[in-house]
Amino acid sequence: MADLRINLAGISSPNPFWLASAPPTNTGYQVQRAFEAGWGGAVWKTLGDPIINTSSRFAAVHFNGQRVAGFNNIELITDRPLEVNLKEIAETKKRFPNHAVVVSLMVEPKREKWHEIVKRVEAVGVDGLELNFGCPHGMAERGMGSASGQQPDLVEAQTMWVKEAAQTPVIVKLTPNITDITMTAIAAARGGADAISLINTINSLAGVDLDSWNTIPHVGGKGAHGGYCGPAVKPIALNMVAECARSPHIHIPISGIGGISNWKDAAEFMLMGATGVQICTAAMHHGFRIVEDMIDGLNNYLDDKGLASVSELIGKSVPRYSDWGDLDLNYQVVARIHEDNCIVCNKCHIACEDTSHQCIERLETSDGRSYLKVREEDCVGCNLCAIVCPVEDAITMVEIPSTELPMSWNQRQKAIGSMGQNEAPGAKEAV
Amino acid sequence: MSDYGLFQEEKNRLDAYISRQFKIVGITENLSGATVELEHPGGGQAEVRLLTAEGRKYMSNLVIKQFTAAN
Repeated sequence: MADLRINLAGISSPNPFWLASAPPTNTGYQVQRAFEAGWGGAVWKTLGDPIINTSSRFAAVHFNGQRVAGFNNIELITDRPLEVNLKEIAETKKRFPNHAVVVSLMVEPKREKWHEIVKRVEAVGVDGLELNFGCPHGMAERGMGSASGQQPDLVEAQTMWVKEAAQTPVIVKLTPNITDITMTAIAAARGGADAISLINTINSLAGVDLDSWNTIPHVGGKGAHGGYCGPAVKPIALNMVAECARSPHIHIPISGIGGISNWKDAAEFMLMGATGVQICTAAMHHGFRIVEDMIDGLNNYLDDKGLASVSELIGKSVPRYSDWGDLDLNYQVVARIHEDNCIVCNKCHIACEDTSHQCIERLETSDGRSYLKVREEDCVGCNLCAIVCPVEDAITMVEIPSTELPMSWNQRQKAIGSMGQNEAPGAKEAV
Repeated sequence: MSDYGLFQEEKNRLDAYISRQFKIVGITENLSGATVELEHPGGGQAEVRLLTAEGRKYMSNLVIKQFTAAN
């Protein structure tokens, strides 16, 4: 059994699986129930001036038989008085002293507002604070959430105000609704953040009802954009975590969030630089007890890898994530079709013929049997055939040893530049 | 549809010049591809048009080799 404990900027927890600030962490009853199920930590649903919510609030995108491939919500922060939340937080921390109880906060971008809430929340014995600069709907219209989080200067200033009052570690939660998330991550670090968490939800509209023409969800015939999360956003979140992890300007720990549904997703986020992860949609879809499989799966994986601690995963894949200009242009893979496994469904042939490089031929043997063959010299190694193939191991991508040394685009440009490249007039404009 | 045959032609042309001690002295890249200018130390000049991506990659490898050998 590996050691699953983590320490994120001074906040320790028995495992890396935390519930994200969201409906599952709305009350003490829920958070304590989650800890009983095995969750290592929870970020309490955002506290601030209590709001009034709408009915309805959630919508999901189901794709090809998979329920909840994506999840959309227009729910806001807590609708309960601060005193009620604080009482339950204190009770929860008392019952579970070794679990991480972090509290999400959101107030107007005013110094005294931040000082007040920080002091009142820390007084009940929380392990840390998470500043909600990410919620994309409702609160943003009031100048909070992502409206604050999209402006690096406001992120920096508010983080600084919080740090003036805070005694516990401060995590800044970032919005993905921005061109370059490292800009706001750097601003948070500059403001004194002890850690960042990402991503919050992505601006979204789940759908339109083709019968009523109402938005999904709608509130009495009217809709508004919500926040998108769930498995569909994982690649976006993973990239943003990785971009922060590899930035030479960001040196604070990362709490990874976004579509994490199982132990494998969690391990991927940790390999890409997250110290721990936060989860919401998977718990809303399957209940708190999914954490049991996450813990077992991660434990088995670490044992198989011969790792004594989950912390040994953190950031191991970051050096392998780079810019396109540093990739080796001489590296080559080609597709190989294994006739023993191929059912000759033709999907690879059609995909390649219609949308890629026309290098999979449908041929016939002398006895009239159809088979598919890759013309390897024309294969660019795009992976499309292997992606669309419905049969496991019918197509594999095979590495072709190169006779050339590795050569990146940047190396190429440097070499050509050094010989005084003549660019045709207008060529630069065409780039 | 296959670019491979065209690439082989481009590679053969470049290789023929390189084997005769020509050096790449200039490259012009534009919307049509690349034009490689070669010079022989003895005074001859040549030009090879490259249309394929593989051809431009092959030329890039030649340039890097030439650059590495000279430094």
